[in-house]
Amino acid sequence: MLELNAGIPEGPVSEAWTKYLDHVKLVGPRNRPSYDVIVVGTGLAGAAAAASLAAQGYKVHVFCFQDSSRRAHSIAAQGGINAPKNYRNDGDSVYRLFYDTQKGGDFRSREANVWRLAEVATGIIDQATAQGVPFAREYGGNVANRSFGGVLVERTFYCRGQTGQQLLLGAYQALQHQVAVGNAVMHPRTEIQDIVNIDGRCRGIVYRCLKTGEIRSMSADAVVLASGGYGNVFFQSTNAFNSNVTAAWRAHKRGAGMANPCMVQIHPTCIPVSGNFQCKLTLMSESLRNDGRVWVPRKEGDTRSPDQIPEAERYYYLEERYPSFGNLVPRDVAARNAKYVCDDGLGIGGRKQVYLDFSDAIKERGHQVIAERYGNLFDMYEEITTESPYQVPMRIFPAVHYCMGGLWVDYGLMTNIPGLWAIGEANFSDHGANRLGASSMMQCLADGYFVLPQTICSDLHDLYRQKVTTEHPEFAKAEADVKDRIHWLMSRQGSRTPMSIHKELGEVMWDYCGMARTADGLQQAMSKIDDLRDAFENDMIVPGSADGTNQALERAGRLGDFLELGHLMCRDAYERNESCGCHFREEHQTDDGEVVRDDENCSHVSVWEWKGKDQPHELTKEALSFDTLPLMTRSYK
Amino acid sequence: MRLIRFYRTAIGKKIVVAVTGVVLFAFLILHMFGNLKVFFGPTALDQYALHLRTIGEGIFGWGGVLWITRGVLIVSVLAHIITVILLVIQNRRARPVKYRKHRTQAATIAARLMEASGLLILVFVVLHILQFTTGDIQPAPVLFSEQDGHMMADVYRNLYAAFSIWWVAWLYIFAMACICVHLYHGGWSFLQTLGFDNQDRNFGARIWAWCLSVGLFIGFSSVPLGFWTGYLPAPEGTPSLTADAQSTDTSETTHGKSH
Amino acid sequence: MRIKLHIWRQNGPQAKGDFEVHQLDDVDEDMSFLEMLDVLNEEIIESGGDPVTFDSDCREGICGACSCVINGRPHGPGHKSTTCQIRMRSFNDGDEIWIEPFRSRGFPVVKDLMVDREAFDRIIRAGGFISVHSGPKPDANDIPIPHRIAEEAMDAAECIGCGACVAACPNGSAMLFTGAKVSHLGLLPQGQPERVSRVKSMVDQMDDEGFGACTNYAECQDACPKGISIRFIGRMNRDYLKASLCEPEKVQGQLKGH
Repeated sequence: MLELNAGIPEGPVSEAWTKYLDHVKLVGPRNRPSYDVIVVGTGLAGAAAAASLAAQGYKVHVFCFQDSSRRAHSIAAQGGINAPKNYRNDGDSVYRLFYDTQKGGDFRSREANVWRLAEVATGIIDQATAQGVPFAREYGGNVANRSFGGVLVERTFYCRGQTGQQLLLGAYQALQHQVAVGNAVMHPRTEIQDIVNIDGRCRGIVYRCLKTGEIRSMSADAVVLASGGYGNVFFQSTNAFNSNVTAAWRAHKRGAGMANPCMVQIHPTCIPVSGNFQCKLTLMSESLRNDGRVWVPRKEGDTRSPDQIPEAERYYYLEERYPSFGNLVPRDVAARNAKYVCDDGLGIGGRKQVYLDFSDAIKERGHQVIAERYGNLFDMYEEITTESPYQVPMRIFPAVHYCMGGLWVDYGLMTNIPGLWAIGEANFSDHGANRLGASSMMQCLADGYFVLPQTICSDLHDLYRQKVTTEHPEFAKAEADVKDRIHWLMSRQGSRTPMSIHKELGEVMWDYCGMARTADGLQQAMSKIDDLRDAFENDMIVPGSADGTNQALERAGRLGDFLELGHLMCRDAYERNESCGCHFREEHQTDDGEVVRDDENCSHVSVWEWKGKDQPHELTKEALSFDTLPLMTRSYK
Repeated sequence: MRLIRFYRTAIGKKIVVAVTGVVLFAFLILHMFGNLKVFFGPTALDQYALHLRTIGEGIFGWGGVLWITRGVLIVSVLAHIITVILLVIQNRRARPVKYRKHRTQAATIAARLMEASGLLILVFVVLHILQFTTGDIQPAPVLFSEQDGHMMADVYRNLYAAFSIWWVAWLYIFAMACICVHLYHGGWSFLQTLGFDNQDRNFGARIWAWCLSVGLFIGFSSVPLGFWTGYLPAPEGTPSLTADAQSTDTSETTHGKSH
Repeated sequence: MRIKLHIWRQNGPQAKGDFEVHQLDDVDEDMSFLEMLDVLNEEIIESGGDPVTFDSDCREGICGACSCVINGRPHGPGHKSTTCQIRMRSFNDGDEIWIEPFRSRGFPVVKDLMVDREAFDRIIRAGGFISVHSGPKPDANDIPIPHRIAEEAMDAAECIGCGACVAACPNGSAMLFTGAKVSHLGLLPQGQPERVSRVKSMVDQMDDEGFGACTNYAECQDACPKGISIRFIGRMNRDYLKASLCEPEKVQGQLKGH
């Protein structure tokens, strides 16, 4: 059993953060340079945290596998970032953002964390502006806002369709500034292989230099994992090609609890898979559903072109099933229904895809208006598929997008291993069972700029002069383990490439642990994953050598972690015997396919503990309380 | 110190190239207008040549302003060329391994020919000075006479003699084409380098460079064409040279540079 | 479709490289260019060979990881697109495709088609930032920024740092990259306090990295996946001219790292 204490200050959640800050033990500016902090990952959370800590005076070492820290996948976030600035005078407030996020997460997140997120969010916009992030401006020079899915206020800030890029570059530049000042050191093209615990504290990492293949260690007083989500366990996802779970998973195997791993968000509007070689899926903004109508042919195996199918033979399934919300149902509902119709064989051309049709919108509003609203998305779609959405309906299908689950952290964002912290998508914190649009960047930057830099001292203050160096035998042991593992991987000389096994894992995960799950299916999936682990161990081939760049070896190493994680995700989905948010268990639904939560038995965070290679994980539950916003049912009818 | 630091950077050098380019550009324009005096007859041209030497005579002495101008031009030319050489070296070093396949896509032909056209212009300028200023090369005899108590080349006569030779005229026109090509890029490029170009002005800047370079080409080339075609008359007191330039060439070399 | 590939293979930064020929007989035209390389690598691994090393990450044209000069063009035949956005339908059946790494003294080859672009990080480090610490800041609306300025800054800020400008430039110049960052920050009111020191240090760093000089070919603008305009180079030149000749020589009380 893990000992989990979230450490939320007593009293109303609205005062928790102030109270925490008032009482946190600080590290004085003179002492900060003698503390080493390792930050793994340079996305919004990692870069922001590294820059903030270095600016405070800590000695920060930053690791990323890319050639430059600017390439982390946060850069691909498009739409925007929420902040309850209430610039539009439309009734926004910290409470409203808290309410929307908590409800959107289907009541499976910690109230205190969500409140804090809403509270610090306004500061992010000011911080980014001060860094030179060119937010869209109105003609009067004020920052512009737009609205985003599922909320009633305009609180989303944006830089064209590249908000993530601009915010990341802001954080990246701040970090590079600190490198120039000398407080931060970059370690690009390195991949973390293990964390090192000494006397129950995380005291460093072992990493591999991806250029030379060298295995090295680094000791530190705190290790911050900002390594992102694990969506690539599905092989095909909207994540970057190299996104992986390795850092988090190795920490998990060293004792860190993994929380709610089954909570994965599937985005309903992506460009469908076009061939079996494909690994990357491209997202089409959710906003398209404002004007597009989703349908499939009523007849199974209908091969006519869409304009040949008369109105009566089209099945506008969202409009029929959800008369009041129609095409604008939330992400999870839209995604699930697309799966249902395709499972029934109604997918276009027998493939897993549905139409998103703009012909009515173009008729009604005119080509001009539609082009203004979605022109860039239509162009992007046409570039990939060669079909113009102005002429033929778009084909779309859901794809894995974001992981709400991750390493368990307390209120201060420290995992259950002292000295090991997790921020951004890598932790489980604020999104519960479903994330609202434009709030992932908000959480990453809140963690990186405002939360972690002010909480990390709570654990550091009494560490002064208790230095550990890499001379410690634990480092040698960990390095030996890593080398053994790499040697083991290099000695795989079977017949299957790492990618082919990964692809198969992805198929299993998608079929059984994707948009809809059943107890039966999940059990099947677990046994299939066991088979894949067998293939991984006995029939995989890894080419080349471990001395120097070897991308196949990197992939094989990540795959091993994905296989173990995939198994745990199925287990978690199996044990969470309810439906909530994106976790949809077919056994728990209303007659019309809505989720049915089991608040009595499942109002908890499931935290899993690694017990050894062939041992089952052990579950610890962190109970959730709902004092500020009482439980209610999400309904979209 | 500050200037040296400025010059050491690539941008500093670029700006030096741009500014000296502008100086040479301005010179060419003046030169062209001077040359066009030829169409007003031999006297107008020779008067102009004399005038160049007598401006500011009171202060700088006879030909003083001309020599100051020549000084500025020599410095500009040297700075232009040396800086370009330094930049070319830097640019070559920037890509130690060449591409097997490399396709330029956007660069204009003029831009790609900058180094070649510049080199040809340099060769031409040297020959041009040796021919018309110092008289060291004489495809046609270069005549000097005394004006105002100073020995000066007889501009109109010399032009007539030289451009009546078909290959001299056409080489000159070819050199002008090089200048035209060089200036088409240069005329826009200095605007871009000095930061005056932008999306709204780009079309205008390109037109300006086109007008300038083509204008110079037409202006300069009209002179040899005028002589070669016979539009410009032979100077008075000179037997027609068109009949046999070669033979007269040898007979009158005594008037050469020894003066 | 059938494709013949000439791929640059180079075992390390110091090693001598050369082209290796591969024949692919069954290329789906809807494949992306990088997926085609993935498929090739799968075949190479299965036949016991050493797969081709190349960089890629987001595969949607924003992270700037993918590189490659394809048939003499950085990021291949597309317009305003990265290598990962190229589809095989841009090629014809029976085509020969030459794939080389970005070549520049500032971008040493790591292996095969993979290069290091840390030089760009060092240019940013020299001054491509606004020195602010994290914490409470004035409200975002305290300093209004005209719409036109915000948009112009955004045009410059769109740079993804891929290095195609350097790869495309016949002189191997990094001025588009540097100019874009100098302009982005120099346009905004927040960037004014450090405008002089920024442009000076960034330009110095750019030269130190061994990049070439701009001769206004405009190849970079054409190759840039984000279509960043060379007017930002002019802007940088002017800023630099002003900073180095007109501004006071020493900035009093300079902070470390400027």
